[in-house]
Amino acid sequence: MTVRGDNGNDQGEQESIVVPGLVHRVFPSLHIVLCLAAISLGAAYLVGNFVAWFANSFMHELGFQLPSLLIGWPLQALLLVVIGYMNLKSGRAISRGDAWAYSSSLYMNAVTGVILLTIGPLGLLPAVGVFALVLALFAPSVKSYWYREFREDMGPRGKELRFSFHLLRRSPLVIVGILIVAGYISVAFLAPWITPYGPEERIWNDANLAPGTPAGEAKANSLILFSNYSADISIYPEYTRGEVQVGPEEVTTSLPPIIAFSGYVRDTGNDNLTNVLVHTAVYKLNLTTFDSLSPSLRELYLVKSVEKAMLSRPNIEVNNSPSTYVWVVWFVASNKTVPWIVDTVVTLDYNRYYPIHYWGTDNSGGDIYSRIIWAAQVDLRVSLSVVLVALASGALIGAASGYFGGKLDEMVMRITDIFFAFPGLILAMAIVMALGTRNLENISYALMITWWPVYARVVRGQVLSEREKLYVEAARSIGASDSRILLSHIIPNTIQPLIVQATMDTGGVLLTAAGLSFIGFGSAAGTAEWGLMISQGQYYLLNYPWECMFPGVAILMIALALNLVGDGIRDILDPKLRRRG
Amino acid sequence: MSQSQDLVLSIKGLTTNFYTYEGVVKALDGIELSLKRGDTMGVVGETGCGKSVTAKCVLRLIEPPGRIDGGQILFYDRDPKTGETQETDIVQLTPLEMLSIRGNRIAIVFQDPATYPNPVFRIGAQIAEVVTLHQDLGREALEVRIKELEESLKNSPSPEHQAKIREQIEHYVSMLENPPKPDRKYARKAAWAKAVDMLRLVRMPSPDQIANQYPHELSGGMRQRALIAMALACNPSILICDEATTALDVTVQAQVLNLLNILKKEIGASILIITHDLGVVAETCNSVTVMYAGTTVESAGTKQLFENPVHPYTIGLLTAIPKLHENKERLDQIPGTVPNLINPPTGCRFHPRCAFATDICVSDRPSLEEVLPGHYVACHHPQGNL
Amino acid sequence: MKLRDFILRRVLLAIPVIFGVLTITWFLSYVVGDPLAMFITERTNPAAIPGIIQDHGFNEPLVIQYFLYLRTLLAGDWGVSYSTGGDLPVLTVIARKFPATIELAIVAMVFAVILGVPLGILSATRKDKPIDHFTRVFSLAGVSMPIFWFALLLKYVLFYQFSVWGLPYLPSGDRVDNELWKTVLHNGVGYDFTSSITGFVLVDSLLYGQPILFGDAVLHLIMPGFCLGYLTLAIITRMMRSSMLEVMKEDYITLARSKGLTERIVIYRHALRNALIPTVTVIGLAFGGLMSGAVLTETIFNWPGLGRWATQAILVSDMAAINGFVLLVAFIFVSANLIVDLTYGALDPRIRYG
Ligand SMILES: Nc1ncnc2c1ncn2[C@@H]1O[C@H](COP(=O)(O)OP(=O)(O)OP(=O)(O)O)[C@@H](O)[C@H]1O
Ligand code: SF4
Ligand SMILES: [Mg+2]
Repeated sequence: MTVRGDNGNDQGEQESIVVPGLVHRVFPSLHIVLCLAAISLGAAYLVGNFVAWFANSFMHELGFQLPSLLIGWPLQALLLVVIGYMNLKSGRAISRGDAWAYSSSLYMNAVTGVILLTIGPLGLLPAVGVFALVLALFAPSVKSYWYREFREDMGPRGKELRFSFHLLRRSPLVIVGILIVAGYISVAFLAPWITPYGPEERIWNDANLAPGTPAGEAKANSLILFSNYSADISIYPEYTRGEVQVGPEEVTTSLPPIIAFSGYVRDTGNDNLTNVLVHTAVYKLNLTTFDSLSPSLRELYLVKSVEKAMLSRPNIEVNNSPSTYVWVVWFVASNKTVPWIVDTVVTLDYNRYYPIHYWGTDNSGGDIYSRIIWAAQVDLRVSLSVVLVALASGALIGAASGYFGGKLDEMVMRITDIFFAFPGLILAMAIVMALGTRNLENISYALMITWWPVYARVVRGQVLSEREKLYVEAARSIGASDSRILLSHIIPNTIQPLIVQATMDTGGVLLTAAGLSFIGFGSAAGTAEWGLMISQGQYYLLNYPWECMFPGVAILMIALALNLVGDGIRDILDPKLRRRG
Repeated sequence: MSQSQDLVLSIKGLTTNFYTYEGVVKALDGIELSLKRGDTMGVVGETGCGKSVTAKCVLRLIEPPGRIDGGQILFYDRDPKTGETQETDIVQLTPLEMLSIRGNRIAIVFQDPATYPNPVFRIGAQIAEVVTLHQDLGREALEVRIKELEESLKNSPSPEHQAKIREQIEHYVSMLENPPKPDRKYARKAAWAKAVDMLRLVRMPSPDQIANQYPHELSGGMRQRALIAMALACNPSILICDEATTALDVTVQAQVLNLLNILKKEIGASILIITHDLGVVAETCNSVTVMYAGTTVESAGTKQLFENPVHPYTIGLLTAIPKLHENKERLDQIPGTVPNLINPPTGCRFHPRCAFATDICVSDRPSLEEVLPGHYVACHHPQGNL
Repeated sequence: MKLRDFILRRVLLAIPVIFGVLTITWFLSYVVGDPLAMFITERTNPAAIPGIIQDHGFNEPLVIQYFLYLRTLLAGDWGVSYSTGGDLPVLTVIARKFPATIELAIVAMVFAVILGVPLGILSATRKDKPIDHFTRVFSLAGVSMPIFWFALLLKYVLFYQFSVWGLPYLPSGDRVDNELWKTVLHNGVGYDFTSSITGFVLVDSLLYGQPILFGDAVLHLIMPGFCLGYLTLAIITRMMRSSMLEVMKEDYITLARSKGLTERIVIYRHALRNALIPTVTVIGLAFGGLMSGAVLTETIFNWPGLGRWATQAILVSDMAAINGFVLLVAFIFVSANLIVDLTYGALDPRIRYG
């Protein structure tokens, strides 16, 4: 079966399109199964969330723990159930052979797939199935069923779209905005490869360095050679020891590698720090020889001693050939109560270099450049997830409210009125406060709750005007269900203002989240997050201004870019401005 | 066309283009039109043929991306006092000079009474605005002042006071012959009074009250009358009605047209009526110009045109309506569709739809010729009784 | 008659919103959060605790708690804030700190309107000219600006760098120079809630008849005022520009032109009045933005208003303070919108009588 071109469409309307094939028989049942899976998954998440919340708040003492697999974002789960249900209806229509259901299930499958993908680990499998369904819709025999109708829907839109792209190409500011946003996103993804330091890594000796200073302390790639957490030591005095191999790859580097040892001793029975004398050493030695030495002789080999239970890092340069090294820890404690525990890690540092702190360091020696880039991941994730969830739920609520009208509409509008009575930042503040824990997660939830009414309003307005237009062709679409009309006629037409709103809001949410973080709602100190970085930098503003200037510029740039894009797109899509020469 | 003395407007070869993304829209391509003093001329044509653009050109209201690219719009303005006629080419005027013509010598009434009045100003204020702008209200302001003084004379308590007022009245009456520049307050009052007069002129019920209302409080017909009052407020030489009646229902439409005919006599303006509706033309106009795709195709007296249409397009237009007095728009009866003005047909723009078209129609543009006395046609193969 | 009905209808419409606001704060503080924390602090007399629990019905079902919550709010018992030093009733703190915030917000709003409206008009009437491009970038920067960062930037440049360069510099924070006030007023406390008359420092300094103090207050207001107002300024400029552009395409502008009015009159009389209508709505909404901004700005400029109080409360989890603040801001916002609605009616006759 082939799809006919434009001319064919104009003339031979009566021609029957398709002979049902295998795909046609398999497709509906597969569709229904996957929709059911999506619904039950959504329901499971909803229940799981509720149980987890319940368990956390009421049954904490019982030690009840829900498998984390079942805990996902409640709003997404709810959406999944709703969309899944509507999609199920169109699946049933497909099995009856209604051609319209194919094209509406295309939209719905796409939405379901995206939600499934973002909801959590369990969503992955059904998501693959759903995307397979979307692909199956393009199988020649299925496609011809709905393709003509789909084209009728999309035809004029396609032309408009091409014109939009033309206008887009002629507005340099929008292009710049898009480039900046794309730059931020790719930088966020590439963070591990383009940053010399980790997000929370700090070099205390390098604190408050000006931009462009080379690091005072060498930075090395490191390889964990040995790690043993919680080795029990019960004999006094005692040493723990081990043996590691440094291979040829690590040794053939520009600078001689270094083996570092870190150990941490705890007295499990005593909350207070015990006075422990720890001797540690890493050296090239035959273990059996070492074992046979007398304790005082052994002590001779040990290079460094540290009082109290704490970290110690003796660095040993490794010879220029692969070899085996031995490390030893030696403890002397004054008052030992119960068994001690020692955590030991032996790392090999190689490829050492002194990276330049391009944008300086903060007061605790974090590299600002690296932290800003890592923070892009955090901030973009927060703002995108907030906008996506708020948009999806708001759009659905708004669409239903506008489409069904009446009491539902009245109620939804009153509720949005109430939400609009609070400035965004302040409602979010109250919500985070009520939730109790201050972290970015809760900020995200709070902002989602704060932001959905915006989209509900936008979509409702659009739906109302679209519905007016639709009454005209209502006769034509007899038999089409509400969900189909909503999803394949109305929602696509409301997409344009939604895109604009969402683009600008991504910037707005980012600013609000950073603001919340700034006043102390964000995650724990030390997390790489722009608002928090500014908040910590403000105390050093006068002497080390770069500590808060650079993160601020980062926020400003991305918000500016998003606004440029949103603004530009709005101008481009505005029918009143469109025809200008 | 003849340069006869009684012309008031003469458009020659007017060309207007819109420079849009899709291309250059050649909206007007050599329009010819002449309006005699005291005449009512109808301009008819299918939608999109450039009637409104022509009207806007006459007032120089074309905005970017549009531009007048050629031709002349000659306006013969007769000074009401001296009776001298003065020729101006509107296309050549500077924007500043244009201001004294717009709304004053040439006025326009637009199609949609719902969107044209400014929603936030009272009707009276909007009319008074034109009056203050274009008229020297010296005399009227004095009259208002005198009237007020006479009012207070009646209520005045003491004879001394009365004498004082009388003195003032005499002073102002003596100034009536040669009025000075009016002071602001009285000018405003005079303008308002004039606005109310104008509303009365257009047969508005209770004009005092209407003047104090906002546009949205009036019905469509009333709003349209208010717009007409606004246009007529400065006794213009030419009144252009761009589909002034299309948005109204049939009875109101008849009333407004009637009103226009009466007012024309009272004020002595020439009227240009732009419409789709041949019925309106037959009832109100003495001459007609037919436009097609940005060109003038035929122009003649109403009677002559209806009885003996010469241009194939006009013939199609007229046969499309079974009876002259039936109020119906049936212009779409001519086969084919209105051409795209970005790439208009070569030669005669009507040739793709014309039953009489020959090779010359495809290659050569017909010029407007006088085929009968006072009957102009642009066609290589004129039909009808010649 | 119609105007009164209009006002009445608007006021009545605000009532369910206020109820919704109360319900949300109740839900957040009583159902999700811990209501006890609002009324009981470390310093509360242990003997009084059972009485407090009884009064607020914390051992009653939620529905009853809701009504008791409304009752206590109406009775003026908004809880006890412990982040202000001693335990003070929330309403007392609000009464002391409110004028500072409102004064700042008004100054910011005045900045925004005075600069924003003309800039918007200028930009719309000179579309695609350099001034338009400048205005667009300026206002776009305003909506994209992290306000807390902008405040730090201003402080760094206008206070620190200017003083380093030996230029006249603006004070880095605070409402007034307290030493100056002490010497001028000879009262030993400077300017605080005991020595203030109206709470508005600009007014008070004039009431004391001290131009020096007035100048001092103005100097202290410039930076925080501009910083807080920049976002609003940007929003107003953008709105003004776009609505002006939209209005200029309307039919009634063509009509106005066809009357022979000059472009100036067409713009300033016919277009401006119409373009102001959507702008006024935006001004109302922007008031909420000012309140959010105040939280950030006041913290940085050490402004003794509600915003700084709220941030301090956040740091020590002072539930009562946060709740009181949120509730108050919502009330301010609702009333600002009400006022805007009424102004709207005055500007647009269609609404008034609609
Ligand atoms: N601003 C503009 N931009 C581009 N093209 C325009 C513009 N204004 C008018 N046109 C074009 O000029 C042509 C004439 O338009 P005009 O409004 O004069 O038609 P009309 O004869 O008045 O039609 P109607 O009877 O529907 O009012 C149309 O084809 C239109 O496409
Ligand atoms: S010129 Fe030719 S095509 Fe044009 S109207 Fe006359 S006959 Fe028809
Ligand atoms: Mg027209």
